[in-house]
Amino acid sequence: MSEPGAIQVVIVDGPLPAHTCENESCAGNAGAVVCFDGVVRRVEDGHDLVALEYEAYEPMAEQELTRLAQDIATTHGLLAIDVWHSRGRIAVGETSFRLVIASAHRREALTAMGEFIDLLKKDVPIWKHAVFATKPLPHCDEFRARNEKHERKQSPDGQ
Amino acid sequence: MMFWVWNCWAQCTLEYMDVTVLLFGPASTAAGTDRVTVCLESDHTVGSLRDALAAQYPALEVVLTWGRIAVNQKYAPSITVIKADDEVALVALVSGG
Repeated sequence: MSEPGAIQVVIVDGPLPAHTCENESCAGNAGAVVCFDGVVRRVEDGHDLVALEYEAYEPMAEQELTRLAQDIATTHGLLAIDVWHSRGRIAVGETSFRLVIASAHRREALTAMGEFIDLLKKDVPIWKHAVFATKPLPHCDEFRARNEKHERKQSPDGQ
Repeated sequence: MMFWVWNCWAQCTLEYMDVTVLLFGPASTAAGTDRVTVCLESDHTVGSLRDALAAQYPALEVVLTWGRIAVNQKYAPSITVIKADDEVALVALVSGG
């Protein structure tokens, strides 16, 4: 089995800096550099979000990310993997996760990208907590509110 | 007589051990704290720790259904024996990325 490519794992406070899709450790050798930014979206399960708050079991998260990057780099013969993950509060529209994969050809990098993210969401001890604009209703309350609205529409006087 | 001998042997070999378990994310929310201490009797394995956690902290029962135990920052199977100075954590279902 060949040696894994260059690996960099970074966990930082707050949102990640503006987009930088580059990897200096493989300058000239890479035919493909694929960059994925995970961005906090506004709507989650139909509710408006303000932010996501990330918590990590940091020493283990760093070890798991490094192990994962080494395994995937070796399996796909990649040149380099850079992983960045935020901790703390990340507002809607800001970037909380960035993965940059460099390889000689595009196919390996594109395959590795999906594989890495799937395994990250299974094994790496990082948790996110949604901060909603308004407190979401519990499911029963929501169902009841929707029914009441529907019944009001159906009633002759519209009340 | 045989029972008495067995009982004496069992008493002598019974070693209690307190294990502090670190909690994060949903586990921490469920328990309302970032760590709990569990008393293990003679069996100091991860499997035994899971049983003891569920018994001594019922609030963690749901988290334990999907959660995994990490010993010294590595996921550990049920047969792993926990030593006194090990770092132990309950890793609830993760949601990073």
